[in-house]
Amino acid sequence: VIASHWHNRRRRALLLQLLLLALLAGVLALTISITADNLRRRGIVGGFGFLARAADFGLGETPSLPTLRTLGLWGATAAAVALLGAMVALLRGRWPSLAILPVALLVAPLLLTAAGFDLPVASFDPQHSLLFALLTGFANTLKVAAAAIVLASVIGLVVGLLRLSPNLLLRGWAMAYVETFRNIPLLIQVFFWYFGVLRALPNIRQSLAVPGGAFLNNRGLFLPEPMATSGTAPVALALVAAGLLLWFGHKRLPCLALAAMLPVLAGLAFGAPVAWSFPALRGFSFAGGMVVTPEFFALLLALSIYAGAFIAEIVRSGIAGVSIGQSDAARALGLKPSQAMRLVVLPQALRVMRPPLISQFAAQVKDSSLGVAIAYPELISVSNTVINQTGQVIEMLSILVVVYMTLNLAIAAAMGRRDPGAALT
Amino acid sequence: MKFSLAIAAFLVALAFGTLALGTSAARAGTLQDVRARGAMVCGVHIEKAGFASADASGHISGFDVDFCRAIAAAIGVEVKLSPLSPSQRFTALTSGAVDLLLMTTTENMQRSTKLHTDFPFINYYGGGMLMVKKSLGVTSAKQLDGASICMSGGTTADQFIADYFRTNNMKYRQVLFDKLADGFRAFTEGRCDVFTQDDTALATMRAGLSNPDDYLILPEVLSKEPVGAVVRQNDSEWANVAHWVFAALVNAEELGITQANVSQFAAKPPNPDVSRILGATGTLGPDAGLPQDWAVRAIKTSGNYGEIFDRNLGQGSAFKMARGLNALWTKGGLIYGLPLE
Repeated sequence: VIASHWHNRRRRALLLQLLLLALLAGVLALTISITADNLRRRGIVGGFGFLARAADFGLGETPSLPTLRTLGLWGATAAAVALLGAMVALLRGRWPSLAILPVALLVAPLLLTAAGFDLPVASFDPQHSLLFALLTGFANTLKVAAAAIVLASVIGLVVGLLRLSPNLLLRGWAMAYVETFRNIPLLIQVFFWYFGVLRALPNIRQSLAVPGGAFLNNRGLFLPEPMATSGTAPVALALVAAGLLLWFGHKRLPCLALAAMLPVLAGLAFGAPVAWSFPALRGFSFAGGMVVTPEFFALLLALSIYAGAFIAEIVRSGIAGVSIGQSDAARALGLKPSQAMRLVVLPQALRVMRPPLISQFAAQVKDSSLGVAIAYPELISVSNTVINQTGQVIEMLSILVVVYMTLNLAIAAAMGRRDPGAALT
Repeated sequence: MKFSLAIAAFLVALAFGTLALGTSAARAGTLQDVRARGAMVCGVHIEKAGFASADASGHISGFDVDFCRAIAAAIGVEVKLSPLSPSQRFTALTSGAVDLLLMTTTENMQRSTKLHTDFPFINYYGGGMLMVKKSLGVTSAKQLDGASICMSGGTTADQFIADYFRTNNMKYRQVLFDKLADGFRAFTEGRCDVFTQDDTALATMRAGLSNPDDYLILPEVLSKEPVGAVVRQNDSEWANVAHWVFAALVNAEELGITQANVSQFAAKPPNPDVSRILGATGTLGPDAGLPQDWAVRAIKTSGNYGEIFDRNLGQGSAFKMARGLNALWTKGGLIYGLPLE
């Protein structure tokens, strides 16, 4: 019987696939059972219960995060907002954009605060749980990776265009930039910028005063921080409403005027939307305000400059991939070179650039883990501390795998979305 | 088709290979492994001058290294030094990559229960302390509210700092590096007001600076840091080897046996104690699975406890550290040679 199946090409392929799958599953099961056996023999208890323990250690950067207690309320409201948005989009005969999700997540707390709910956010301190420490590390990873992706894209676009410039000098500089930063290991660049930045900045007692109430020294850039007031939620909601009005309403004067008046009226009724907290030197440090640390800045700089070199090459290859006939045709139609680039060449090049850009952005998310070397408390750094304290290596590694994979798959999903309008024909 | 069959055969072979590897991973006692291998793998932290550091030619030496060498010599095998960072060390030990750690690892209850380790001996009684620049004008840790503190990961520093500042109701900003040397460099560059570590690192790091007198180690001892060797849990035979080799080195100091006179003493023991330790009489070594002359080999390789301290940390070194808590119990310290018989 098997022989008869074997002679059918398709069935044979299927059979081999199944065999391969079974073997892989077997190897996986074997690995898991051996690991479990070894763990048991060494008396190591598995499971994720340890995450609820108090951390008892500090972290260098502690952004405000929604506490776990309020996350459910927040999530439910955001889901309701997203659902509403999706229904409106579908009623208008189009698929909802993925942008609904982040917008819903931002609008949800505004709605809740305006409705009188107390929505506590908390900054990590040693009494919080290990899970909250890991979340803080994750937030720090997101913060630096997102900023680096934006900055690297800007650098990459500019340098990539300069590499194609007819001006020999500009072209040469762009090439020197790409070849220098692409070929030096990132870790060395991270250290270079970190200790370079530290040495360039003045001592805390000799801070540079930046106009507008900010201070710069080797502890960081201390900025005035906007603080929420009673007026924040109403004004922000009014802004959202104004945005919706502009999106859906008629583009005529009464409608525009209403959209402009809404936030102003809300501000008048509920008070100014923000109050500023200014940094001031007190003892060893600045009190009040917020700080951009040298660790964050150096890591951002290193990641952006390094990835910028790669993105420049992606941009250049994307543009070079658009047939020369396209720019010839654009010129024949009377478009200026800048117009031809912006209106004809770049839109087509973007389609070619997208797949390598996804890989590049994913690489940046992963490279942000080098922050561990220069005291930036990102996910890997916090995980190392947790592993050292609890010894739950396998659990922590599996958390890391899931988090980084999810993050990068999300980037790929968001960027690689099938967009019929962008397909090459 | 032949090709596919070859792939399938390869995968089957791979699966069986994994199985074989898996079964061999279930190991016998560490002492047997070490003897079969002819080498003992010792995890060390080569960023800690005095305790373990590498010279220009890559030769690693130091206080901890001398204990590694003594233990390996007592067994009669080579020593292999495996440089580890503090955050890697427990994973390296429990996974079997090293046979023991000798890298200023603090013994505490949580580490021996939660991390499944045993601490066969403590070779240095230290404490967590703080270093500041003299120009800061601070003389006590109590004056440090709001300070930035540089430290390195994988140690107990992040915990004792959190506890101390919480107890004293003060705030601080933590700057935690993966590597000790990077954290210290950032501190000297002015990133932090304070650098914290065990005194095992502080004194030697300060001595390594070009301007050590510009820095001050504050008097407060924030934590007790008894540091020593670490082995995997549930391997008493192996833990015994480390435990008693250390005891022999301390007994040697108490009895006046040194690297220089150990051969003479072994040939002509002046009293029964020396005779038993050096294996002229009795079966102390073989009972522990070691050669008859185990202690002679260990002392010949590294000297007694006092000699090891002086050579690496004390008067014979660049650091000139006092024995302090690490003097013999007869001289007011905590180093006590457990009797061998």
